[in-house]
Amino acid sequence: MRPTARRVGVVPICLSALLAAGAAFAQAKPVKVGLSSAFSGHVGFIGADARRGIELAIEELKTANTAVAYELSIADDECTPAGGATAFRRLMDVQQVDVIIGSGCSGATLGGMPTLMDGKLSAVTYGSTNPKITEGAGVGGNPYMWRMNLNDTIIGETFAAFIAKDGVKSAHILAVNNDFGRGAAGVYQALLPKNDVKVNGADFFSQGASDLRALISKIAARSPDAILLFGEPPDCALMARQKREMNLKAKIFSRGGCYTDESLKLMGDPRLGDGLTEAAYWARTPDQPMVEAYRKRHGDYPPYNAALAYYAMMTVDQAVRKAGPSRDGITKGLAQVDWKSAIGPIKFDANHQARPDLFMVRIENGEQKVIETISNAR
Amino acid sequence: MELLLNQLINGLTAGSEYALIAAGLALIFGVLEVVNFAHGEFYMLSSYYLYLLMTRYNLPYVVAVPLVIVAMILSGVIFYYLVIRRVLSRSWQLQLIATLALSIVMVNTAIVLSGPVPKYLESPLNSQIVQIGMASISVQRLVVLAATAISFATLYAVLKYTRIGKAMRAVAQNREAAAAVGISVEKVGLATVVAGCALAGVAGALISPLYTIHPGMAALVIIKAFAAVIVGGFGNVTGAVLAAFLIGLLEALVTTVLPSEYADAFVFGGMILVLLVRPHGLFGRVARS
Repeated sequence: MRPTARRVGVVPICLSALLAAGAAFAQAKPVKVGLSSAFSGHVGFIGADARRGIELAIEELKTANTAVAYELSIADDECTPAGGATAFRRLMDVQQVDVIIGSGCSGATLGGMPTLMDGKLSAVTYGSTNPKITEGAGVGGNPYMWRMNLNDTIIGETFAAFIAKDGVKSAHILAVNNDFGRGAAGVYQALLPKNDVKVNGADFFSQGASDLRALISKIAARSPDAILLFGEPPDCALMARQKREMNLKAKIFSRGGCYTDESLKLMGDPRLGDGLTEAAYWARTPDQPMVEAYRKRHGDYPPYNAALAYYAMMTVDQAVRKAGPSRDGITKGLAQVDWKSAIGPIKFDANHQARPDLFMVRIENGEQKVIETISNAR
Repeated sequence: MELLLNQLINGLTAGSEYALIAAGLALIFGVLEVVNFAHGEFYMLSSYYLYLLMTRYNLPYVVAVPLVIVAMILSGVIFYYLVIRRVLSRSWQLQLIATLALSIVMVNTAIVLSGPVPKYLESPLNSQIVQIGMASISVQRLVVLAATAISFATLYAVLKYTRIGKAMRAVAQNREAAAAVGISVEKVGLATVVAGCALAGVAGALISPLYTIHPGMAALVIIKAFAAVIVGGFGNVTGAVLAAFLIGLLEALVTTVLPSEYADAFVFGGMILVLLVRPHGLFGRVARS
């Protein structure tokens, strides 16, 4: 009897071992996260930065021993609408990801958005600011598009009042000729006059344009109190150097990363940026552990795309915790996310728009200084 | 009036940048009838040489610039033997694919080796600003203007008065006939490609401190350089240089009176108009049969 009983006893043990192994296997199967961003072209650095931010988040989640493992796939959307459509499609159909983070460019996000409906796949943008994305997401028609960062309408309402309060009576808009620049220009052309700031005009430059002198001459002739600049860090650095060269005195208010370390480095002399004020959806505030973690890993402060992509990845993790790691689970989970992040609350409204904090950053003595943190939580 | 003077200076400085790049492009096509789609990437390569010399070896700008031009001459030799010589007598389609492929390889190699993050190099001449009337301009930009004039004058003198220059013109007129009278087409080809790369070297070394260095830095400027080469009369160096200045001036003037986004439409619309009226460009000759 005893040997038989022993044999019978072995069966549940083996079954338990098999089940445990199965569970472990199920646990080990990673959630596939796709990053759609620009890895080539004039703003190819956006993708490389975002990738580092997401990798840091995944590493931290792994160290924290969460139940879910994450695996990152990337696709180059070239920061263009067509590139966005292709990258989203590739991540969805070929890489078979469970969620997309991106794009960091408004044009690419707008181009990729319709694709999400086919695969019932959610995408969380961390850097696109064109208001059309919010208008089209959630109750706007696309249930799979989510925006973790502030959009230009939300930022504009505060920033336009800030500009007026700073004593500016007239401004000229200078923006990159893409969905980000055109979207932002439209917002401020409407908002500034409501704050008694006259808009002298709006001009646009091609992404990657190297010479802004003709535009600066034109703007200088109209003598505005301020220039509103919507561009990426290389554009801002170029503007700062050519402003010095042409002895332009107008104040600069900006959006797009003009205050960032990368922009200041590209100016050559960071003090060329002195006086520039940016309404930023991310700033290097002292209460963010990721800043030091990134610095430890890469030897430098995180670029803003790295930081925002990091928080987007953490938002995805919050969603997975709420409703599971499948495409459907992540979509349901994102609707339930209510996370107090180090950059403000992340909770999506009916248009899938979150409202983290807004940072007013000014360059003083060649260094960025957060002069005000504004809560946007409703 | 002040705005017009400013825009005139802006147009001339922008034009000089296009001209420096367009001259090499026009020279290679004019003599060898090869459209070098990698020419913009040689401009990018020379900028990276400058960056390497100034940051890795801590050389001052004035020392680094001549070394960049030497490096570009060597790069030109390699480019000739690795690519151009092999496709010189082949079909234009093969030449196009070869130079286009090289352009893609060069851009992606730059991304792999240096990353996509733009880089900035400070030239001491960049922060020295001079006043011309009411307009202010950096000495670096004046150096670009002067270098364009000197480079073009040198090229003109070489083509007009030297033995190799005369041989280049002979090959440009009729390659087979030139070979038949004893001109070494290979030597002429090598000299042409080296001169074209050296011009790209001058452009990269002088222009890049004004802007930023990154793998895609040639993308926009090479389009304007191609437009200048086409408008100037494909293969005509003088025409390309003059057309480059015209493009620079047109851009600046259109920006003055219209929203700036129309500038490119005017430049390329103007190019189409010129080609409708003069299919061989402003200074072009009728194509050889």
